[in-house]
Amino acid sequence: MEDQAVLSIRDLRTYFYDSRGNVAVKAVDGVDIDVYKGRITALVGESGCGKSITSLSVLGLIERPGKIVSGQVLLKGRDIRKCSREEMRGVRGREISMVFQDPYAALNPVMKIGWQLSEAILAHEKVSGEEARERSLRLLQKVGLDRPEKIMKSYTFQLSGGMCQRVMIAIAMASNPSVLIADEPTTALDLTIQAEILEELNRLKKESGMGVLLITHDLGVVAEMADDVYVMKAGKIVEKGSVYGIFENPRHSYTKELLGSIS
Amino acid sequence: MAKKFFRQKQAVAGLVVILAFFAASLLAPYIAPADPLKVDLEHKLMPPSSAHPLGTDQLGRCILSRLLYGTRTSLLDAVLVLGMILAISIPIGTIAGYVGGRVDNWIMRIIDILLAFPSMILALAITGLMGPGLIHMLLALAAVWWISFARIIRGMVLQIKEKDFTLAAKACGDSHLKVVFRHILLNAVSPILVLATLEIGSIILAISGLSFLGLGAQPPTPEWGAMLSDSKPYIETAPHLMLFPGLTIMLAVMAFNFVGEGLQKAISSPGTGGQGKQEGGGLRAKRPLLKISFFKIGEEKKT
Repeated sequence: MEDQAVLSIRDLRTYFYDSRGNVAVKAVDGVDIDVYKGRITALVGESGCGKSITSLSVLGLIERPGKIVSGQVLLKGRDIRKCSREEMRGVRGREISMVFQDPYAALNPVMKIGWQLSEAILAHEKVSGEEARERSLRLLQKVGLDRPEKIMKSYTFQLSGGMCQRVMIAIAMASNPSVLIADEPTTALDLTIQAEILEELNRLKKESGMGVLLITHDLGVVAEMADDVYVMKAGKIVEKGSVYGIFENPRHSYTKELLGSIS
Repeated sequence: MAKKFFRQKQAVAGLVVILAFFAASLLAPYIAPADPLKVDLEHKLMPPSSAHPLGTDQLGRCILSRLLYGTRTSLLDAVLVLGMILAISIPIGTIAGYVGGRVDNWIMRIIDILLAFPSMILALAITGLMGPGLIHMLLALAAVWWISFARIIRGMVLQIKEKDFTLAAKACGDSHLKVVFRHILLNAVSPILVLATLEIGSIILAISGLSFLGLGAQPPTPEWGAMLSDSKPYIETAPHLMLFPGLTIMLAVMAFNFVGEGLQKAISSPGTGGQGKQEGGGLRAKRPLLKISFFKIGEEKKT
């Protein structure tokens, strides 16, 4: 299994510093995660346990006062932590893309959807504007949006939350990434829309064979979607296993607590 | 957004007045009843009449014509100053806000030091140093005015920088330049526009004020503030000399303020985003000459 992982995080440590340069928070403290092709890996934990910081660390988007102290992020065996800034830009969006929690906030409110989508395509591929537009339309259809022409001409505030999240996913899928990081993709949405979006993610994963790192605090989502589960607490992975293993037979007391809190 | 702007009567009225002023500045040679520089001492200090609708001044020059030509100096130069201010403050404010850290610290401390000088006095001093003259005055105004603009723009950038879409853009592999132009500045356009419209009234006042003090437009150039200044000795014998330039300045300043406020209200409507919550030290920056009220945009939610 080990060599098939598209994304392997090894002993990743991201610390935050106070103004005097002392370590204030060890947000991510020695995390190992493997994401496999065509599988959904869930990273579960309470708010503030370091889930989102883990995903941002993978993309190298940690800003001061935070710093990735050590560790490896292996994308198909290549350590992207050693990449130059320029190379890293090529990884983001093309190899690893990300879907955010609040689709309204994550889309630019003053750019039309079509423009944002075309931009995402043009960022990594040299195609004509016309072709970018064509592909944007197809992407919108692919994520299950009717009347893509109309959506291309809309601004975010003219769309519903579910539609925005589908657009967000379309942008993330623009360059057929190998890994999709979904950071609480359904937390900001209604329950019915949540189910639709999750189904959509599942379908896209099957179609494209990408690996998905699903970050969530919702164990219901985990049970429904995930193949592998990592439980995170205070910057550390406290338990990992298959979704059945975790739900049937939780070993760590924190996992038991988490499971206890929903049943 | 446009709809919401045009629904406000005040703002529309202001816009009409501004457009009329700009039209006047362009069409002055065609619509002015007389040559604004033509001295006619036989007909000096005349009250309004059909030949000179607003009367004549102490040298017999037609006041209406001088006011019309004065739009060119007063109004267009205000726009010019605003252009210079934005050209300096947008890059500086953006760099301070976006780069942050030590760069931000340095820029902000320098701005703090500059803000410690009373801006009008500083403008006076700079003009005095370079010698009176319209161009010198405009440069001096831009030199003192960009400071507060840069501060406010830095605040806007800081706020937009924190939004998820900037992070999302970076996660898509956008370069810093692209993030700044496509995401940050594009979202700052409307608040900067509001700021600029609200401020241009004060700039007009400042230009008139410095001209009134004899530092700006030199005679015989028609300029509203200089006209006011020239009318001082005749305030009792011929009050219309002072009245009409004064009213004109007031009208122009009010018109810009109405439009600015209208824009501000229109922009803070839900959905346009990006400028919902205006907060942070930037917007509480010390205002230079007149305006104190600015950005009362409340916190509103998207629906």
